Amino acid sequence: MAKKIINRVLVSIPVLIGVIFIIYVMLNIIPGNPIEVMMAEHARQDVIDRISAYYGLDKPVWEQFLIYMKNLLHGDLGVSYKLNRSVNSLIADAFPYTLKLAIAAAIVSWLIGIPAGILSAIHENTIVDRLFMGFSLLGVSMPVFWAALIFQYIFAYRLAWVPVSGADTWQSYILPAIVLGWSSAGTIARLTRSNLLEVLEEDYIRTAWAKGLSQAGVILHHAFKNALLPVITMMAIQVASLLSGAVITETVFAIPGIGRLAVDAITNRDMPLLQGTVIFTTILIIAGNLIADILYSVIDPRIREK
Amino acid sequence: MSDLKHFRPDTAFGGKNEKRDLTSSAKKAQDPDAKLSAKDKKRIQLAADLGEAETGWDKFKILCSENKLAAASAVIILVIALMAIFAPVVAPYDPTKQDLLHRLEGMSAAHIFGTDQLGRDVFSRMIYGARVSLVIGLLPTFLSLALGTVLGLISGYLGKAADFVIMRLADITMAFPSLLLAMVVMYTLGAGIVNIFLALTFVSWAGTARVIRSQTLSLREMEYIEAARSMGVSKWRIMFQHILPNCLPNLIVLFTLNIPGSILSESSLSFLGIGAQPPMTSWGLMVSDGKQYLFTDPVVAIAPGVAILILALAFNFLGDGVRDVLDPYLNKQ
Amino acid sequence: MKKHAVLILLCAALGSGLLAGCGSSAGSSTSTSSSGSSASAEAATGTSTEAAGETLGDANIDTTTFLKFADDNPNIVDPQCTSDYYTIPMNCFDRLLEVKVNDDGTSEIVPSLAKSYEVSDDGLTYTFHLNEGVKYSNGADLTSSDVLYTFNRLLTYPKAVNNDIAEGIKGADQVENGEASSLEDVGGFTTIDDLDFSITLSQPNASFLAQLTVPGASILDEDTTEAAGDQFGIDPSVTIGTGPFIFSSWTFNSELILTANKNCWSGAPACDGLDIKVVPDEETQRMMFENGELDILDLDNTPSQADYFLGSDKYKDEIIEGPRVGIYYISLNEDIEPMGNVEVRKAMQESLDRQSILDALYGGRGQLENGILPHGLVGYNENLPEIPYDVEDAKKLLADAGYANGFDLELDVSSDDSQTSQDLMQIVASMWGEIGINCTINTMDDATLQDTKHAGELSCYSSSWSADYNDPDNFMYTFFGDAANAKFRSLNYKNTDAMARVTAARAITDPDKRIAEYQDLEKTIIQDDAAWVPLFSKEHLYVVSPAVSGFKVSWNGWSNNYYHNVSVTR
Repeated sequence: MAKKIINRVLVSIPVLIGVIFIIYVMLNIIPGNPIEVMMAEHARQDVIDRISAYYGLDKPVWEQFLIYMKNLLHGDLGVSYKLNRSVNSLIADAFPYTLKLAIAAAIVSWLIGIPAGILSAIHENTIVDRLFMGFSLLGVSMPVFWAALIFQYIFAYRLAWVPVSGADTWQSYILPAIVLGWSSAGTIARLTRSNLLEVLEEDYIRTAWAKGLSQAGVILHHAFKNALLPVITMMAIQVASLLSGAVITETVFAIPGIGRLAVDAITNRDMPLLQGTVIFTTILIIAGNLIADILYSVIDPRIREK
Repeated sequence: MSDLKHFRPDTAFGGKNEKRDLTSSAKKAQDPDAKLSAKDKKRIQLAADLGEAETGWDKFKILCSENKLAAASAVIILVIALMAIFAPVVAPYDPTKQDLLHRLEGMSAAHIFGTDQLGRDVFSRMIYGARVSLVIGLLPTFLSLALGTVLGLISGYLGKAADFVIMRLADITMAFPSLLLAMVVMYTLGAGIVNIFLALTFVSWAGTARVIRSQTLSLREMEYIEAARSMGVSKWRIMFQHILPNCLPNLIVLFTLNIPGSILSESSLSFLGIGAQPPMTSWGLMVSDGKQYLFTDPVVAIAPGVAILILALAFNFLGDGVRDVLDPYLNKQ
Repeated sequence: MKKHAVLILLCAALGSGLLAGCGSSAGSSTSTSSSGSSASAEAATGTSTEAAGETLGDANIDTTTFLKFADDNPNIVDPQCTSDYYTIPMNCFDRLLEVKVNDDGTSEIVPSLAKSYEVSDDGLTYTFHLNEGVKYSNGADLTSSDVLYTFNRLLTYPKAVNNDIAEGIKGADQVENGEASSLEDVGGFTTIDDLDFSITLSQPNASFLAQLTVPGASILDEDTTEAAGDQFGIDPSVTIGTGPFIFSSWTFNSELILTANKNCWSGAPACDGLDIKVVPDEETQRMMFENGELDILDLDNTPSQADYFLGSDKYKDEIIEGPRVGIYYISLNEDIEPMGNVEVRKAMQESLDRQSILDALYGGRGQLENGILPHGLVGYNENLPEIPYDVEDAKKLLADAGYANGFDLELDVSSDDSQTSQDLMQIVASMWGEIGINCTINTMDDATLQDTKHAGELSCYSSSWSADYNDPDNFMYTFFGDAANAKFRSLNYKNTDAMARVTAARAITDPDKRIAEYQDLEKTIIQDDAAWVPLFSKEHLYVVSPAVSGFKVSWNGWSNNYYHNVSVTR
């Protein structure tokens, strides 16, 4: 077990280096100087050159890359050109917001997806099935920004139940969590439904039916437990992907999280910040997959035996 | 990731779960005497009906009666596709014709969804926008599927170094936050429709590659493949003529289920200003343009949003329906 | 559901663990990583999530009675390092001189930190006398050496962008390139005593006093600023000025809080403080205003909402307006054929229905411009002939130039442009299409666009320039000062004689003669040579809650205003 985990971590290292390298190459083949973007209308060539030199942008790309990698080894992600702050502290500041949003959204998606999946499976191919799957698929099919705007309009503006945007109070997270959570509820519902359908056909469930146990009893005590195993492992991956997937939700709801940092970094061609956010979220995704693997082998006896 | 809402095939029915699918269905296949549930009987009956159906049309009718929602979705998609194809005939106005004196006029008989901020007819723009949304739904999905299939076959069949390299590349691609990756690609290549194809293909091939690889791995050991190999059939022929056809059901399901993701990705990129560019329009861009007027003239933003929703939902329902039908167990009967 | 709890804990632990590793070089790593896990626990249990650790400065200020408004999202508030964000430079710092807007709309330069000044007869030496007893918010005294430090720093600080303010001072180039360490060593600056000093220019510059009023010329405290290093303009506790407000807290990307400087030398401000929110979304800003979460709404930052407020019975009496002293224009690159032909350029000027564009995009809230110097600027020429909207004449001009069948033209748009600017180019493409110019809109990302523009290779783009200081030089020299400036903005204007005159006009000491020269040049450059298509200038509108009094739009119509005399009742 420990060996397997170590092995997985070791495999992740070349992946991470690949990610850093690809993003670095992509960002450096684009023309345009971040300092030029920063100064916009007030730009003057001598000032652009001076500030570029200050950030070492006048050096050859390979030299910049080596310097970046060297700093990275020391855990230093550099200084944002545009925001004048250390990327480490910017990410550290933004992460709690994104984490709160991701967890709240994950909870919403489970609250919608798991019951919808269970009910659909029990009533397979009936109107109930279609209704519940339809409801969870509705979230997957809606453009997040559009849903966000309409929710803001109804619940924040018309009804004034929750704040329009921001991250000041826990109420601020309600709408973004619903929008984001609903959007990933469909995957959870599908997985729950298909697993439950499969488990319901296993022999021991049929035996339970045959013994005359009540429907609820069978579902809750026997089927549910086994059907949810893959769903639970999926959750670790889901939380990680929500952490990186909140880009648009954070933009529309003005939540100062990682996603907004990344979007700003892209538009400003702020390489250290973009690299920092991408590396950070990549680590999260890799870690999420790792946790999923570990959970899976811990929870599922069939895998553990092997 | 969830903003892109890419269906993750490796977790949803590929990867680990798929191994279980195969083993459990293989078990059933080996043991025909196992007690059959009502559902199994129903499925077998369905398969038998399908086998007996003589024409494709009959098969289609059987499938439609099996899942009416999926059938309705197929009709909706077809209607949207026809409108897009015959846009010049269907659209009441030139979608780029500006009329600055009649801006943001709400719904009326002349303009059923009103006019936008430059006085252009929203309904006509939606009809033309459907072309972009459909093409972006279909083409990058197809490209990423093709790329993922080829790489997955190579990786699964050849193994060794090729497998290692391709799977590490897949790991890298999957490890990226996908919307961010698409944005970076768009910035590298510049905004524009062709680049959206490339960005979305680049972002989403890895899932397919993994599914096809794991399927190839198990098919590789099948007797008929062994037989072909011993007869000296070339490995490329085995891959593409013997293994690939067996992957088709999965590919069809993946294809249908990945389309909504592509449509929504495009709308996300357009919303962020790096997708479709004016004067070309797509539904995503229309929502983005219209969002400023959500409260003064809501129909401009709501109508294209609803259109995206309907199209994506239809593909999702259709995908679920197709998946139910193409269940691996069913195919073995 | 026990497993969910386990999973959440795992994620939280993972998140904080990663942060602790990743934030090792950040000063606040320990506090932040601990807040990461505690915050997630709160989110899971649904209790209040007070974000801590990311706020620089005092995180616990009661802002209930503060004036609340939405504003730009600054990256740095160091007055010398920003050319687009001025709220903190304007309200937490003071300049030697300020601009005062009179009731009739005219403006004049008035004393501020400098209570008086004299100019030598040759127009080269300015002697200033500082007010006595001016203190920074940390209690330090304002002295002549702070002024010297301020100008030296403008020229030598690597990230300074406003160095042009000090570049007219004698010996500035030597300080800039490191040959001298201080303006005092090269005769540009003479300290007379603690409160008196003189500045000598390398050549007479009639706009020098006006330049001293810009936010970039804010006077900094030498000791604090030097000690703060690159944290000046980032960390509120070391960003110290003499102004009516004290920069107290900055929650990055979210909120800036300014508290009243009760001991301000020019009098305590009328409100307890400013609670400045960062809200990127226009609809959100409007909703926050309607819910009372904002006291002032800048309709320039929320153009899509303007019609709603102007048309609303509830809000139409709450609108406050002022001119925005800035010109919108479309550039024409004379190096790209056939725009090298003056008749073609004139045809392009005459074929745009600028009033319709103004009506469609800005509800007609503005005035057409026909030159370079917009309404509200010193030197604005109301007698400049109007460029007609005449499609037939435009077609004739094109035919005369040999382009009766039109030509292909590329219009350049940045994907970062606001939707309104992108709409503008779509309208322009459609109008030019009427006279046979077949336009394609080329959208590129901002970095590429700026790069191409500065290389002088951008075809046609639309942009605007608003006044930094109230002098024609701010407009004329920027675009048409010399061939390099004209190329830098992809105009590639060819009339070298006119450009030489623009540069020479800087040294004309008689104000009337100087204005007359600028107005003559403006006519030559825009009306005779058709160097660009002038569009319009806009009105700057705000919706201001009835609880607010004393709010005035700044003289140049910037989005950043002075709040010294603005009060709010709760």
